[in-house]
Amino acid sequence: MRISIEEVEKMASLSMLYVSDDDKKMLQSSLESILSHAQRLNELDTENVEPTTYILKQQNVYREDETTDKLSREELLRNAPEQEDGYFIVPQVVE
Amino acid sequence: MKLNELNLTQALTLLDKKEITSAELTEDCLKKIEMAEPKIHALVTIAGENAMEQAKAVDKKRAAGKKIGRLAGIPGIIKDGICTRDVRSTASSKMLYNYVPVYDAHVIEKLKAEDYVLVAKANMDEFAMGSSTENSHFGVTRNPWDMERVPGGSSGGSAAAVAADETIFALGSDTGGSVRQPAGFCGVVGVKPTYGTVSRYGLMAFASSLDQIGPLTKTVEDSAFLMNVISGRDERDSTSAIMRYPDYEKDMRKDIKGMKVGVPKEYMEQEMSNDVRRVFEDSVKLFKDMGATVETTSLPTFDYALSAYYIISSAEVSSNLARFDGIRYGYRTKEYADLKEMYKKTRSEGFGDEVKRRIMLGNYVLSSGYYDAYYLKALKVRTLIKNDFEEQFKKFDILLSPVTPTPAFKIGEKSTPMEMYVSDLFTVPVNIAGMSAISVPAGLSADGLPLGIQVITNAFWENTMFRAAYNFEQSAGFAAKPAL
Repeated sequence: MRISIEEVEKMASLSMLYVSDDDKKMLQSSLESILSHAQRLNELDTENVEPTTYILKQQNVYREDETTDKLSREELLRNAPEQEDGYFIVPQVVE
Repeated sequence: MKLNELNLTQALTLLDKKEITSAELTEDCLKKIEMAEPKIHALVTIAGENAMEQAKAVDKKRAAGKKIGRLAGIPGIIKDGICTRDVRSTASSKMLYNYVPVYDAHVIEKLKAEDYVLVAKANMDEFAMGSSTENSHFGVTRNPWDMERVPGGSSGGSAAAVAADETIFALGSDTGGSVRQPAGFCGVVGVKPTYGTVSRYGLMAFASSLDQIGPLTKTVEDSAFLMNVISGRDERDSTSAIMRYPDYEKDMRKDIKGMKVGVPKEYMEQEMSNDVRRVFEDSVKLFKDMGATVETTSLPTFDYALSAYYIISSAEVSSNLARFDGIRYGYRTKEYADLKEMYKKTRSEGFGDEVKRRIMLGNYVLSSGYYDAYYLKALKVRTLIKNDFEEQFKKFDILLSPVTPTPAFKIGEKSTPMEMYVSDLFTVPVNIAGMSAISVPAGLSADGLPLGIQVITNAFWENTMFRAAYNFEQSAGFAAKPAL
């Protein structure tokens, strides 16, 4: 199982991460070894097997969509790295 | 005897008889924390003053004859990936180094309703990714039995704190063995409940289809007691099971004559230390002596569980950890030119290496061209593994295995990710199949390190699990303690 440096870079980009050149090599080798180990899954015939995402049999659990005021604006902003006038501050995205 | 050395059942009895107060009990835990923490570093945040206030408040209620909860005045330590209102909860990540939740996890609401006392938040592998508690932004936790060794992980702080008697009980979370493996390494009891039994509301998500919160305690009885408190339907978790929740202590003390026990040969064919094999064989003999019938059986898909686990859990990680963007909470990088650079720098500086590796692996197996080959394939293999376990429980009441292939390993010993992942070999299949399992101390290695056995039962068969574990615990009589 080979993974190219370009693929590592693509994954980093998809993951919103910067990766140094040294780390790229380290990640390349560890991801190769994890995915090589995973090749063994191909030994199993899964032609007519349904995938299992959740083990519970229950599905589509609904509840009423009701607004509550359990948390105040002040509380919700309490952990914000930057805030002003009751809003989160983000870098400018529209020119 | 120092009061912090009591188990939960003993402490409750003495509190009820008014022979001790919660303030005395909590103070002894805090004293032990002060003494042991410089050596083992099991904790991220200590809630000392708050804990004493809570304890005194419960004492007043009890003295006044007011209605009190089932855990009134009992000190507990909570894994730092579980949200505790107004008490910092970091998941041992730089990303959340300053995060103070404005709400309690469902399990915390339950514990508070029973008047427990929050003593501290426990160290862990960052976002629960790891098997040794070496991947923590706040530094490694050491095993109370041997400071050169890891306590296991990811709930290593919780396990070490219980083993060191810093607390009466702890909560952890188990995605691939993160409660059972550290419980095994530290000589305490640890439970991975059936998926859906304990609400995940307020548990910082690692792999949502596998995560379950579970107790770490000094006895099996204490774990069953805590399951009665923390389990139950919660509509804020859409995977919370809709059912009648049992009394987990029911039938626990009945004997196990005639219980059908299976030992999957695939477990025993793995490389494992001689000590693990010896203690396990002694444990099997105990089950026979207690009147159980023990048979060798086979789980043909055992060898595939670990690979399926790392693909599925990493895929879920890459989605779950997308929320950490430096905007609403947690760490934000200092300097940036635009939004994208802010995201990227925040995440690159905020996450540790193992977390980054799993996010990238997850994005790889979910990306177009690889989705079918890896992610979908792993989900199909998961079906086969689940079917395999379900077949076993047509024949057996429980399956038995060692918890880990070796006793606690040395800090720094596992140099590659794959070496580390293999330490979860025996615990991972249970999460993939959604079964329930418990780790119970069974004996000591030649070096004096604790070793556990794992009792596995079918989904929602916790009563059988606790009964087998309780009977085993009583006859094994494991009483060793770390010399800390």
